[in-house]
Amino acid sequence: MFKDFQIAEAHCDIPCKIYDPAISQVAALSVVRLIDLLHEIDENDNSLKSIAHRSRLVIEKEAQAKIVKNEVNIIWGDYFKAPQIEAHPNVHTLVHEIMMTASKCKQDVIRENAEELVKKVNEFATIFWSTKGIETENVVCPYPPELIVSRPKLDSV
Amino acid sequence: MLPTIKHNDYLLTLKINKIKKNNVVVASSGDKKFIVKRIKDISDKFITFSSDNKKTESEFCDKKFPLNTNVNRAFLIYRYPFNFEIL
Repeated sequence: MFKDFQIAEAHCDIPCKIYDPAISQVAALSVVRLIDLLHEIDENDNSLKSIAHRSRLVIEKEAQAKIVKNEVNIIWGDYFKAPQIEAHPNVHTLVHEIMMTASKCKQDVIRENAEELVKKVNEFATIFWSTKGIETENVVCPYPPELIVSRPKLDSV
Repeated sequence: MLPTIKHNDYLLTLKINKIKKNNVVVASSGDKKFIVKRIKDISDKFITFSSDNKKTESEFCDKKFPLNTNVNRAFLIYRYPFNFEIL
C-alpha cells in the first residue's frame, strides 16, 4: 500500500555541512611562520643544503597561502547565502581582499603582508561565527608566530 | 526536520489554500522532488521555509519561493508500527 507514496526530503545537502574557518586561520599563521623562517636563513649561505631548505620553505609558503584561498572560497561560496550576506554585506569585499593578500604572500616574503592576511582571515572567522550566533574571542596562538587569532567561544562538555 | 519528523515517517498532507506560518508542509522543489519544511514566513510575494533541525543547513531554508509554489500542509505523522502524531 505504501509503495506508491512520494518521498519528501528534509535535507538537500549531502554530506551535512561542516565548515570551520580554523583551517584557513592555521594556514595564514603558517604563512607568517614560513616567512620568518625564510628570513632566518643566512643569505650568504649558498650551499646545496641551504638552497634545498629555502626551496622547501617557499614551496610550503605557496601551499599554505593557497589553502587560505581555497578554504575561504569554500565557506564564502558554499555556506554564505542570502541571509548571511544581507547581515554582512561587506563579506564580498573582505573575501576579495583575502584573495589579493594571499596572492601577495605568494609573490613576496614580506611579513607585513602575511600579518595582514591573518588579520583579514580573523575578520572573516568572526563574521562566520556570528552568522551562527556564536560569540568569538581574540587569543594569542600558543605557538610561533604567536599572533592574535579569533576563535569561537564554545561550551565545554 | 528532526525532532518533529524522522527518517521513514509517513506524512498525511492535504492541498489547502490557507497555509500559515509554522505549518509543516511538503513543497515541490522542482525536478519532481519534494521537500518537507516548516513555513518560516509568508509575504505578499514569497514563502520562506525553515527546518526544525538546527544542526543542519539546507539550501531551501531562507530562500524565497514564489507564492505559487506547490505547497501541501502536513496534518498527520505516521511512524511504524503504531505511532500517530497530529501536527
